[in-house]
Amino acid sequence: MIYTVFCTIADDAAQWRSELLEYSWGRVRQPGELVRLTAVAPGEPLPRQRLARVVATSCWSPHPYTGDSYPPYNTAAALLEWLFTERIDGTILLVRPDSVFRASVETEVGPGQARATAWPALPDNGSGVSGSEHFGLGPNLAFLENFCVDCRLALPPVTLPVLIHASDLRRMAARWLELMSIIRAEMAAGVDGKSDRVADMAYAIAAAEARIAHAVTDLGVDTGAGPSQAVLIHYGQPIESADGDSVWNQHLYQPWTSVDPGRASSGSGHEVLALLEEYCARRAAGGDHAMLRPRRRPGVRVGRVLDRTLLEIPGRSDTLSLNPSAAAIWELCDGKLDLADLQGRLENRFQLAPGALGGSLQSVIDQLHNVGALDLEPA
Amino acid sequence: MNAVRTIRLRVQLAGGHTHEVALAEDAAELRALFAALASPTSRDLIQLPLQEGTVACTFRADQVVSVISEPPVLVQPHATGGAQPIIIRRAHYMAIDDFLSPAEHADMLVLAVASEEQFETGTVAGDTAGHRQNLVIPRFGDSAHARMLQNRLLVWYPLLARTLGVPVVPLSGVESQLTAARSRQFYKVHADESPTCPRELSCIYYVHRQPRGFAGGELRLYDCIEEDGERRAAATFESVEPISNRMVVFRSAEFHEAMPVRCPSGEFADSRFAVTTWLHRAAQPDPDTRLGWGHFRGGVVAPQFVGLPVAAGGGG
Repeated sequence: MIYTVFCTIADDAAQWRSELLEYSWGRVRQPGELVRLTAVAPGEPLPRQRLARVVATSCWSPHPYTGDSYPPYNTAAALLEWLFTERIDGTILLVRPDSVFRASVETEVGPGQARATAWPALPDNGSGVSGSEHFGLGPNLAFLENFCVDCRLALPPVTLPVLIHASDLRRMAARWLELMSIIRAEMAAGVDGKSDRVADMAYAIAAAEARIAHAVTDLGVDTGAGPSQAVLIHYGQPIESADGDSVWNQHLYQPWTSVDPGRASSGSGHEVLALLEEYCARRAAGGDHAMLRPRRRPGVRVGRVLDRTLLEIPGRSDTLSLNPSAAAIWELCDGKLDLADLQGRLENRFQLAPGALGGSLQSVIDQLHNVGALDLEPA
Repeated sequence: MNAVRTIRLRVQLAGGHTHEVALAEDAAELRALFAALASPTSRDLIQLPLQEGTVACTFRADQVVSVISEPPVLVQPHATGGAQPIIIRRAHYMAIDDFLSPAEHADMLVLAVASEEQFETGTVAGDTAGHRQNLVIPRFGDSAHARMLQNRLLVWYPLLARTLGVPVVPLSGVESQLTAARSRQFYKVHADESPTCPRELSCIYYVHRQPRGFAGGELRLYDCIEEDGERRAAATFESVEPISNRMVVFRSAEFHEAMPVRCPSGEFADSRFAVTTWLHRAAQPDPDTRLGWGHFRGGVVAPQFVGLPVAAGGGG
């Protein structure tokens, strides 16, 4: 089982990124489960996702002991909580929320077989070289000698996305969180040094200390990078045109406004915008169900009495009676048509204006899904 | 974590009828059965799920003659009226394996073995003779090794509290002891909390040589009988293996016991070593309280952990 996991908070920006990631996950038919770990305050409502399981986790930014606001605390803390609470066993594909799939990951990994994306910018000469002082991170991080038993370990020069067995991630998650806290606190206390990529540094140290080797693999690529066969694209940086102008920036994007992929210079940037444009179109056509194909659930028995269609649903003591309109929708739910297709067919069949069925169709699909008559599968 | 146990029951009814059923230890039906035994005049109805819930057996409470339970469920009637049973509250704990990294764990073992001359005989408040036999370095908390454990524990603390079913509280300090249990050494049933010692959580980190040079030394966590405002250990318990690099955490109020160690070699290095860390709750929040390595202000509860829902029934 491969768990694709990403961590967010519960704001509007996180929601559209999560939806886009979810759409791409379903689009490539990534096997396994998609899990959105969401840091929420007590009582805060959980966001909804169509395909992803949303799990509430404690909020660690701002840090409960230092007050430091740093979103990656939430990632490590959420993983620690989820892995320990649910006793997850299997392969974890840990991805950034601002990334999208371009292909599926089919290979599971066992304990000690972690793979991750290269982080060539790992400071100084720490990359894979054992015996260097302060993990090879340079004198600015000399304070680590006070908090680490062995600072001469070779660090794996990797970053997210990571493919790792749950037991390995469980062993290092608390230390990852702790190291981020220490490094950020020491740097804030006056140690001269760059504080960006602290999460990556802490991850590498925690992995090295836990003796979890990471093979570098082509899992992820940034939009600004060159050609790559990576399965995930990270759109953390603005997407630029051939002239170097900023074409699209996630921090300025208003969901779900149309975008122009043609202006992007790089292949991966173009792919992200094309995917976003595709999702916007599907979303506009099919509303909330744009990415789903409804399929009649196996085991549901169908009968007809006069003009009524009756459904006997396993696990339910009552019989569901469909009127002719609902029955027409039910009969088209073969798992091959997405909602936009369904809508088009029904509107043609009943000679309705385009878009006339949108809301009511979605409502019927929701009801049939809620009572267990339909499965909703990724389109 | 200890999971909710399944209790196998053989229920004998008036007239010689018997039914066998398996219930979760926190099931309402289990409580109802023992309440029926304690109140033989009750004519309430009890319903038991049989055959994996596909069949229900219903009978009057006054028809219950006896209940055989495996593992044992102890019920004691109130001394005053005999009407209300007391269901024993189960001890909850969390066991975290691979708590430290391999190098940190190895370092802790080296320190424990090398500190032989600093150990002294462990004592018990109240001078209870024969209650405790082990060796201890009492002021271990100031060492770098203790701080390493403390700091890591603080990272875990909100999750530990939630899983054990207790609120996150402001901490006033962290106390640590390094103990060594040699052959025939033990620590009989006790709780770490007292009115004068505001210990909130007890955290025992085990470390020993590989292969293990001792047998025994398990931690027993006893179920607790709460009656008329008094607490005492029940006869039932759960046993936790002292596996090296394992952290075991439980409420300091829980009754527990370190079973005798058998160490054939007699070598000090083959002892069962443990670092016990206690998180102390503060009477008043204090934002200046710094714990672990000194970065963490644990004297106040962060807003996100105030009023955090705790796991029902202690989670454990």
